[in-house]
Amino acid sequence: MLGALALVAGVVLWKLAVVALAIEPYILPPPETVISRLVDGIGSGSIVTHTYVTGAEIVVGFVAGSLLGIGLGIVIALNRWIEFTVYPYIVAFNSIPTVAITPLIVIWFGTSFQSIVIITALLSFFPLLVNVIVGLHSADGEQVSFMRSLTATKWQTFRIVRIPSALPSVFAGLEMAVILSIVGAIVGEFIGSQEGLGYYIILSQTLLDTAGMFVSFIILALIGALLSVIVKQIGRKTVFWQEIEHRGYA
Amino acid sequence: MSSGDPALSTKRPMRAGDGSSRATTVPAAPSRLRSLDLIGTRSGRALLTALTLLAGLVVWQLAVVALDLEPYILPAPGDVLNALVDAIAEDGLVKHTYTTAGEIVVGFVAGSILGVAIGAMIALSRWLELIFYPYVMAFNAVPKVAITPLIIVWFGTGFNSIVLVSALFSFFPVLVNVVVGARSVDREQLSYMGSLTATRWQTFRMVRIPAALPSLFAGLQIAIVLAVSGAIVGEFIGAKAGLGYYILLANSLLDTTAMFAAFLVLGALGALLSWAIGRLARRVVFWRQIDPGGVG
Repeated sequence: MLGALALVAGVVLWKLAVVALAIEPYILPPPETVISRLVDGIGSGSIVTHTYVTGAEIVVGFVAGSLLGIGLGIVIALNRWIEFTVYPYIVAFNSIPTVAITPLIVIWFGTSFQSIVIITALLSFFPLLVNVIVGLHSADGEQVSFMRSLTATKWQTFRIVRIPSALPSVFAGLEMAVILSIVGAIVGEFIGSQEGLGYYIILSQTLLDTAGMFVSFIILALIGALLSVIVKQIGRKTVFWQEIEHRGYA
Repeated sequence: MSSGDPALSTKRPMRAGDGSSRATTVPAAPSRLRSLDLIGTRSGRALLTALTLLAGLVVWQLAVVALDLEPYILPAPGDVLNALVDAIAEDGLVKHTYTTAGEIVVGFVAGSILGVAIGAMIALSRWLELIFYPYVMAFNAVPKVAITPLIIVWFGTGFNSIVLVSALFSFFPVLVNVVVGARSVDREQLSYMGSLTATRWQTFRMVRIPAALPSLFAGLQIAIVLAVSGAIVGEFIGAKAGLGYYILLANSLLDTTAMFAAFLVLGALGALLSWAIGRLARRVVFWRQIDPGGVG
């Protein structure tokens, strides 16, 4: 309710500001220009294509990166040798902002859907990896001892105690990864792509078509909100025993 | 152990994970040193990490030679070091690094201060919260990287624009964490201050601020990482100096070796800044472990 009110008030203020301060359209376009650009884009299908491409990059990259992160996280958490040899280097590699590596990925894989998916997957990978390791290590010592007293096998202990303890952390990682996936897809498109919302933003920038940029912003915000809500809901259903904190920044 | 007199207890079992590789006293020494004991000691771990680094470099060098990889695909480690030295000596890598570091630090500080200020205002005033928080959240929903080109359109290319981008990236984590932290005050502590007839300012100073600090510093740790990303993305879009610009330049020349050199410098810069904030966090919030989570 309050959100809707704030939205309407915001749009009104926006319009007033543009008119009263006589702002040039390339600095801040009035709301109706943005809406008409959006409608035109949907009508001509171009915005739909861009949205679809970006959406696909985000989802595929997110899933791939998350699965990789979870898989490797399980391996590292269960094996101390690997933890002390490989893990420090993964952490070190993460010091280099993944966005900076984007041009290299484009050199290696060309300007294509795959490159963007790789960048997105790389960005999703690390939060999942870290959170899976933290989560698996956070298993209650007493519970593990209890399982041992019941002569449970390692696999049973893993399945019955460790995995549930890790789930809250894993879903927190997934929420982070979703947001990072969007960032990755956009930056990837900035550097090396001829389609997608990121590309559309750069195109609009070169044409000083600020209204077009705003259209992209709105669509990206909606995609982000949608994906975040989906992940949060799945998280809440799966980790039904826990309150999930709200932390949001992109 | 239960006697409690330190002078009397001389027997302590040898335990891995102590951090010491020397035995104190040896009641009944184990007959074989298990390999896992190596991992238990700090020096053992450090040695393992160093060996892996060496092994990694060797594998890298071998791969480049054996697979006869073009330098623009994967340069050899030696070439990267050469490129690094050259870049410092000739291409002004130092200047670029300095520019980017400046953008990051100034942007981070500006964004954080703004985040703290607005966060504090929102946390303390229900009116401001009701008015502003929806806009903050809506604005936050748009990925900041997407907004970067708009910032360049508005403010042009150059140091100041990138500072603004970096500040924008830093602002939100700090804001959100300040609000969360300020709200996390223990009600009992507030009642207690009330019972001591403390003024609002005294309560603020002695209870609210310390309660918010762990969250604030977690936010700062996230913000510094984002500030680095922000500066790089900003330079990608619109800059003529800095490490991001240098990477794009190397990209256009297919000079992968130079790119790797820039990655090393950038990684070191990012790690240094993160470490610095981490140290500050540990000193200021000495009573708690800060957990910012893993953000790339």
